Amino acid sequence: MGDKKIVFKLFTIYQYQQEEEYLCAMHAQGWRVTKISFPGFYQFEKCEPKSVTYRLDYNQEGLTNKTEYVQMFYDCGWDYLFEFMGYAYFCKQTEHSRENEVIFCDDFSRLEMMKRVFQSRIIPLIILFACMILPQFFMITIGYGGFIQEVLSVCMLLFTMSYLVIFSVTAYQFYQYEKRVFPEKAGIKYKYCGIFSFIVLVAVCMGILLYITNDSVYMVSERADGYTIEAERLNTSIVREYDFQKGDLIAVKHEHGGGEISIRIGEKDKAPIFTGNSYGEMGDFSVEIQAAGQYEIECIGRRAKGVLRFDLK
Amino acid sequence: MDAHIKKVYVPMTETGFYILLCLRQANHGYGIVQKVKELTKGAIVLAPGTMYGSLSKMEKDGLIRFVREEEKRKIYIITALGNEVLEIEMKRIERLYRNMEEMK
Repeated sequence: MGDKKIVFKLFTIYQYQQEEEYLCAMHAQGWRVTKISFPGFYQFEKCEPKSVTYRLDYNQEGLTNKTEYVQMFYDCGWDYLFEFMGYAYFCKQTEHSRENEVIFCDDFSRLEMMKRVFQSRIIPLIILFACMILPQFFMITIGYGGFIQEVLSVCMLLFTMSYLVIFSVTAYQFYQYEKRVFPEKAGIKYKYCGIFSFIVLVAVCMGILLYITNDSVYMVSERADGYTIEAERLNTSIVREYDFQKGDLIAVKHEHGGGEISIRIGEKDKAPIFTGNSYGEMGDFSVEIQAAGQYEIECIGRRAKGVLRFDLK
Repeated sequence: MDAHIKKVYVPMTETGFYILLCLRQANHGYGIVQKVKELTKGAIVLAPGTMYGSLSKMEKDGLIRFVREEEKRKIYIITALGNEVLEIEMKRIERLYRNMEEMK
């Protein structure tokens, strides 16, 4: 049995009380925490089992003025252990004290600490929010069809869901704290209902936007010798079936203008005789039919304009 | 007085009141903890997390100011604004006490 060990345990930023209790329990079993190297990885060292109290503080200003910060806690009987991700870990002997040792003596300052945590965590949340918006911009302005569209939609859906969950949980926990600290304050419930509604509203807007961008807007015009496709958004593919003879030519001329188009020509249920897309710069091309049969021409794209012309023998 | 100051410090928390009261004379965080413990005969023991947070906040809000550093401890003293806010609170407490006595 070694003197050191590493334990993996995850606590969310709001579960600092559970984290405190966990560290106390470990120390009572003879393991004291020495540092945290990575989120969730606690390093312990063997020690004498003792009754101690661990408390966490979140104070960026304290950490920048560490000397005075640590000194104040030391004066009050708290040993500074280490810091991790903005949290400072303190420990105090509690063998002889009957009361619960705390580093906050009123709810107001406890709430202030939560506010500091919230404010610092808002930045990654804003980044997450930006990640939600970006795929939207891509899909609307630059324009992608097919596979990329699906990937971006899934990404956007995932980001929106995580945004909904994280923001809601954050708002709820903050609400519980504020309710406890200011029980007489009117309108706390309304304030958080408002915040929660706003969060949901944003998610709904994202959903609507996602739906709109996934809708197809296109026009197909028949020609005597083929057809023309004009697609603003073509997320579902247009499939046309034709009977071709050996020697027939299918010529594709497509206009760029910032759009993307993907074309697949082949016999039904058989390997395609041609696939191409404008990312690969397929340019204008023509395909000669080698064997007679029923062929499918499939197109998918965005801001695409193309002419498919048949040169039948 | 700033509307923001009024909103935060009127009325003020018991902790805030004791801090401002003690800082009418220059002192550091732990000094305030000891003074309050003495004053209340051990009933109120201010905690470091609260103390550090409150002192930073009050300094930012201009209710106290930094005087000097002694042996790794920052020493503060109340400002004119701090006194103003403290006066308001003291009047409020006096009124509370008077009414309490009257209604007893």
